[in-house]
Amino acid sequence: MRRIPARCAAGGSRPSHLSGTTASGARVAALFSRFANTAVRIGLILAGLVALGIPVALMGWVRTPFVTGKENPVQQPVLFDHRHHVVDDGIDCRYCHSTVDRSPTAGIPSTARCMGCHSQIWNSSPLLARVRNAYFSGEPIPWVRVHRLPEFVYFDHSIHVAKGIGCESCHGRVDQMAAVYQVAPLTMGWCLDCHRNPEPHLRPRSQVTAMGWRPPGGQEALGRVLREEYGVQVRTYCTTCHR
Amino acid sequence: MSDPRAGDREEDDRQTPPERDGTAPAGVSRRVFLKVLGAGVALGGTGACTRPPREKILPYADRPPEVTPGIPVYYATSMVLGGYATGLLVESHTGRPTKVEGNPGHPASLGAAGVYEQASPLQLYDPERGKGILYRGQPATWDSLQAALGLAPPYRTRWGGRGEGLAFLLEPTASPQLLALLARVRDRLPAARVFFHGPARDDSAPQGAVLAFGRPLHPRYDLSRAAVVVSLDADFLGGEMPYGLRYARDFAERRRIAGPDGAMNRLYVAECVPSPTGALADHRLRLRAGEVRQAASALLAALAAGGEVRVPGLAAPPEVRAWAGAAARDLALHRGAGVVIAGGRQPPEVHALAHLLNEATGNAGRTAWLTEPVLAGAGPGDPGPTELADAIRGGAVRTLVVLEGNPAYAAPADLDLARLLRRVPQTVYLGLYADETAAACEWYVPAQHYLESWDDARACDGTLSLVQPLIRPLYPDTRTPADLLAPFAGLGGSTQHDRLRDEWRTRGGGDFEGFWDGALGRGFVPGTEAPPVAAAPRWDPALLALWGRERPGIELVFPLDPSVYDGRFANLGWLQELPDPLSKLTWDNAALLSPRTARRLGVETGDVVELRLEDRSLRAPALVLPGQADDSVALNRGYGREGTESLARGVGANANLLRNAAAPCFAGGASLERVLDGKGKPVRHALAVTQAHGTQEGRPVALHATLEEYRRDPEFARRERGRALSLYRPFDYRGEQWAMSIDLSLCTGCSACVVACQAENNVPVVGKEEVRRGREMHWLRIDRYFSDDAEDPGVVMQPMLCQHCEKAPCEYVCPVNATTHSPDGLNEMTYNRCVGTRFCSNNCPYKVRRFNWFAYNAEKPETERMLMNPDVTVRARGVMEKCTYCVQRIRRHQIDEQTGRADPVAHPLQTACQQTCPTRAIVFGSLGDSASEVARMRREPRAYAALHELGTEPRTRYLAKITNPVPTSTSAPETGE
Amino acid sequence: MSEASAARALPDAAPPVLRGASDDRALTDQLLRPVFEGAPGWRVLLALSGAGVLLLLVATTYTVAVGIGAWGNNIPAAWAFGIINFVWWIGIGHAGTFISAFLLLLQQRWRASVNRVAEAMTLFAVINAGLFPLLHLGRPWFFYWLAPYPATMQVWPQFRSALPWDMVAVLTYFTVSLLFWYVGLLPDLAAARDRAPTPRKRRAYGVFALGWKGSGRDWSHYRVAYGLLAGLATPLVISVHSIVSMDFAIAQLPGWHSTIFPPYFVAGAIYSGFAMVLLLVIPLRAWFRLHDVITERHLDAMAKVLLVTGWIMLYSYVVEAFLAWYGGNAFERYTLLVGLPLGPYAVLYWAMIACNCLTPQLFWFRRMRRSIPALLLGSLLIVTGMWLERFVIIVGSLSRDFLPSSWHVYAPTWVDLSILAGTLGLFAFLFLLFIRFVPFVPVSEVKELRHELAREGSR
Repeated sequence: MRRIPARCAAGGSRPSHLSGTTASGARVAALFSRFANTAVRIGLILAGLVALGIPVALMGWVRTPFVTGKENPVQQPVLFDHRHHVVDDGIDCRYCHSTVDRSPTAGIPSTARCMGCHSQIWNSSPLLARVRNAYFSGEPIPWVRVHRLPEFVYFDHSIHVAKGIGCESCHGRVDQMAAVYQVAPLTMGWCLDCHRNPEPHLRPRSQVTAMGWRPPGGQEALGRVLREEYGVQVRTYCTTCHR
Repeated sequence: MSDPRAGDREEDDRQTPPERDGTAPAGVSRRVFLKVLGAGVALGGTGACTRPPREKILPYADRPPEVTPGIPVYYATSMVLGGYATGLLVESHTGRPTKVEGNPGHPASLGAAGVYEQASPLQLYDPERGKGILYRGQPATWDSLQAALGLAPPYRTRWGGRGEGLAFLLEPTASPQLLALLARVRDRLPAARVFFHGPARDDSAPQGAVLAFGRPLHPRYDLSRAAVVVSLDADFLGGEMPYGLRYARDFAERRRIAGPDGAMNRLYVAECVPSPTGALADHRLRLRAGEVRQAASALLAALAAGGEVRVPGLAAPPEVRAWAGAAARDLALHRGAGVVIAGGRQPPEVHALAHLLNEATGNAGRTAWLTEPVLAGAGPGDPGPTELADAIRGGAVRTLVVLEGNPAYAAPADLDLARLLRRVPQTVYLGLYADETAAACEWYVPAQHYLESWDDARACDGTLSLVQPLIRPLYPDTRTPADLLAPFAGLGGSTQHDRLRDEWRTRGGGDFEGFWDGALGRGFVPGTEAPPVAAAPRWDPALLALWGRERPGIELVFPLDPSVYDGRFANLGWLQELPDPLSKLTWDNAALLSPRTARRLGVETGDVVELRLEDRSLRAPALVLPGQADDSVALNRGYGREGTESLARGVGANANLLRNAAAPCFAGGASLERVLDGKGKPVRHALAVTQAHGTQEGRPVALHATLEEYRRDPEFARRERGRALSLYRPFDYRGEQWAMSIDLSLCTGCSACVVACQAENNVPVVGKEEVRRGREMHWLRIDRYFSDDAEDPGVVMQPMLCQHCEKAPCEYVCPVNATTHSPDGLNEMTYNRCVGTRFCSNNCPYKVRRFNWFAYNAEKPETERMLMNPDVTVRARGVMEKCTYCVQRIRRHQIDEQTGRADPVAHPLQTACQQTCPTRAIVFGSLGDSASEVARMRREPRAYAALHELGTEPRTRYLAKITNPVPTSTSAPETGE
Repeated sequence: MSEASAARALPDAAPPVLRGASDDRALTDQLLRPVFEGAPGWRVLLALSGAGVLLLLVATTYTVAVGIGAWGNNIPAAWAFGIINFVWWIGIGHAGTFISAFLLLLQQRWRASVNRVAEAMTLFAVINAGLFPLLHLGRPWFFYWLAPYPATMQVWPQFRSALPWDMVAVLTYFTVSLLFWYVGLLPDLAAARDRAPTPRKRRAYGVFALGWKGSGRDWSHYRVAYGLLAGLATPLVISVHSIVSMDFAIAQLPGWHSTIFPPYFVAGAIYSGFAMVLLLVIPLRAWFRLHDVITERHLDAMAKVLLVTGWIMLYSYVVEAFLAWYGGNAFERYTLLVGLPLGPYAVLYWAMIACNCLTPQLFWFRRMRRSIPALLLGSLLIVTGMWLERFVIIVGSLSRDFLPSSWHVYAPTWVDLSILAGTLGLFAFLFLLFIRFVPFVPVSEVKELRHELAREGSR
């Protein structure tokens, strides 16, 4: 098939009145290599793939921890270890996060709350120097926010606790975290999954702060019961969270 | 009180506007181009999801017990204006006062708050407040001031030890502890003189009392027992009259009509400048302020003659005869159930006549009675600015201490105080701002805002009220008037808090702490109102005035401004941008002319005119306003400020430059003419008026009828309600069904709701230029419609807000589902989903949607951010917004109920506009409960839906305005009572 | 073959669709000359239009930077210049597809010489139009929320609104028009490739010619593809502007809420489109001395189209006003019988009536249909009139709607005007590039036409 490129170059000599060649149809030197046609085809296919691929890639990317901030341990100004306080000392979440059941914000403990214990125990530990200084100077400790919702989202801890949503459901096994990190993507879709169908996530109010709690009699039954008992509603309209 | 810097804690992200889109409207800054870059990235598809930087959380070092982060706390306090206190409840978020409501228990409020009260928190956070003590403009210290005043011991050497040459200038006050302090000063320094200068003409009522009773008594009225109310230029429904909120409530309770056979009071108003009171009047007499006295005389004559004005020499014009005759007949018919009120603008004679009229109609002691004066410094004996001016001219003042009131600006021009102050060797001024007076004085001491200071005061009825701080003073150098007086009284070291408690100990009786805590909790002391005093007015024919213009030419009237009062609120954007109830003018004052007068003088709205009175003249833009008296021009006070406040500076014209001390509120014999430029063309001034078109074009928008018509055809509104055909599938409604009913009969247009909405919902201020473009952001506006009569039209006020249509036109045109419907009947607006196509606004027949054309919320001063309501998103640039029925309150209320967090009974669910409305014209609630007030009002025959035929089925319903003029059919004036 | 024979081939001694050009080579040379030899004054014009593009760039950057408030829009007139320009440009775009697709299916010979210019115009007009839906958003960077895609928000667009459909319609229209235009270009690109003087140009055109050989197989495929695309494009001429009209018709605003809108808008689109084609073709004809290829016949035909569509507009105006009166709805009556003709924009309203209803009446007369000045002036007036029409519909209706209290007058800012001027610049810029680098008269089709005419002539 040596003649194809030549023909191609000739631009097709007949029917001459329809093409651009001279009536004589003189042959011109090859304009493109053999590979040209293939190259063009490959090029077209690639272009198509890129055009499709970019949006798809982006949609994937926004679901990755790079964007959602999942699984990313945060260094705090004070080396506070939840494992130790929750497991070893068996302190209930609400001891420090004391407003979780009556306020939108769970509440970061005041330095005074820390000193409540640490004036007695470890009261000279160098690890806690920062806390002591903060307490006596009255300057707050700049804790780093781990779970951040956008300013247009109005999340209320108290109502979720009242409806029997466990800390664990959103915050994960804090009792196993050296440095706390975000386990949930905290995307709107993730919120909606539960708001559309809360039953799989309900637990008795007594067990809200329990870590690693498993429903004794299976979740479906329990979910249905608790939903009745706590009057849990499916709330998916916008002003539930956006005001 | 808690640390102001505790403000931005835990809820940081709530108040800061979303930085992503925060760009400045003015010019293109470097930031802006970064934003464009950002936009580029966003276009790449990551806009909503780029990961923000880690934020810091600052918990309290030691949290105060009463504070729960995320839960607002309410404290009772009082705001003093014109010397009188109004009880308030102030909402505080983690130590930041964010919102003011009326104190339901306080007699002067009954839960309502006015425009000034609603806007006052903005003043607390005003970044341009005075922050430090100044001496000749240079930073100075409290101690240096004390030393300069010779108050550091031994001070008795100063002023001959008796206070010669020492003078104080105060606003009239009813604060017991301040008066006690003054008394101490007086007896330590007997030669010191105390002068008073008030914003309103406080002394004409007491002087009127002197004319009538021989001593300065304080008139009080009970409108809840008045079937007939006659107002002699008294705007008791507007914001300017003391106790106005209470009067409005009482009046409204008597005005509210349940059905066609219900009873309704009747309102006669004789006024010069159209006012909210005039807007509700059943019989409005439009005359010059100077003729009100004649009208009152005619009324008295008519009473004497049993309804006919026949007394020789009182040949009143026919419309006055008709008005006076009808009023007289009504008053006679309702002896003891009527009341005549004289306005503060009017001279003493009118007040005296009002007393006589009340006596003559048997109302004295029933609906109108007297108490000993509550306010000190407003009596005839009290030396005022005139006396001060004389004293300064006489060189009798060597040290002058001015406590608030900005007299250099607010005093009548002929006193020339601004210059005289400079003549005094030593002057000290205490005020919120470094204003005109500060410029004229040697020393400037920044004043504390009432939300950050301790004080006490009395309401207009004498009720003892407490002012308690909600936040530690933002600026440590600020002081209260008492702080400045105390050293003169030899109490230099004491704090305001201690002085107040000491003063109050005298009342506490046995258990003072209990008494004190009770007062703190309630914000006032019940049962302390002033007791009535019996007195009979003396008849004096000299009070009567004959007809005929007392002076030829144009009359000038100087009302207090319904937005900025006497100028003290002129730096508050909310109030500058608040449309005037009648003229709908913002960011300006204007010379108001009646259409006829305007035609006669060849003046049009927007022409700059020159006003001349005696040897003084002033240029101001003209504004033609139907309802204004002919040959009378009104120019509001409070504008043309020249202090350091950037918003107030140079806005409008300073009416005080025309006032004279003899007749401070109105004066005849003025002239007016257009100002022409070089080429003989009239000079124009651009006015920012929010409502360009006055009438309804016969459209079914704001319905109204007379009581007579209503009784003849109770169903006159039937065509404007009921189910309309629709192609929509019925919506699946569940739970509470929120709705609102607004009674147009009770709306005075006072606009308190507008400011309340702005404060509650973080509604931005956009500035004059944007308002002129038609971009004001008010979620709730008050439409004012004139009936067709061009000269003296009837007026209907219609609060217009999102109607929360069940078949909402905005919802189906939004391409991204940013505006949707909730099962409980709300038309939701989700700002963060909005891309800003603005299709929803185009399709909204009520045009209540507002658009963020620029980043109106970007670059707010730090202090103003503290004011933001943390429960409401601060809207970004390029998104639509609108009334949400205060959904943040609804959702919080629902959560409160279900978590038992707060007591829903103590804090019933109310929208901001409903809560503050002085006349309770706005009612919000659930239709689910058929017994609820909102449901009941909906069932009234005069309830209707605005633009019903469009089939939008709004959740907001209006009750047609019913007026109660003397029936045309019967000759006897039945008020139906 | 002779001109006379060609003329005889046509009915009623109308001027021929093709004159002179005795043989293919001459014709090809003439038609390809601008591509290889350029045109006098081309650079100057390009620079001028380039300035316009720059203006557009500045104005749009400023808008995106500070916000849509840079425009004059307000409440109630939340839509104004942005949407006006959008509808106007989209409308202009219609003539291209109409000429190439419709007339192809109707086998109108005279389309041959003008169709490519028309198609190019379509593309550039649609590009301009496409700017506005994006620019007029409050937050343009979230435009993709109008597209249905699985977001982490799990929120979808709202298909009851016309806007998502609008986006789809415009994009489809652009894609199809582009393909149609390109496919039509193939043979000529090949011809340009073969005629190209320098190797580089030969390669360049060669790449775009996609190895066109002119073989019978090429031609048969070409015909099928071209026919299919024509068939695909034809309904789009109707659908696009119908959907655009829905942006207004689905609203209940008096002046928008009208069932006549789709046909009314389509007709208006073709009306303005043909006016724009004339505005382009006539100067081109003079510039490149194409009187033989683009003859009075073409001008005459297009003038007739103007006359017809002009009457449709007139009819629509009358019907709209009549129905407002007959329907008895107080609001519509006010808007269409008082608000628009007597309101704040009365001047523009009557200017619109004059431009759109009176101008086309010129073309009852053959002399006018063939007089260059008349055609130029008429087309200019019509294009302006159609812009005014959109202004009257959009701003006129919005600024005086239901509640008299919210009536407010609208006025554009310098940004609005710059953007309008800028799009004109961009349009001219793209068009100049087009005539410089692409054979803007379809060489092959004209030659084909010549041979057909010759055959008819010799029969």
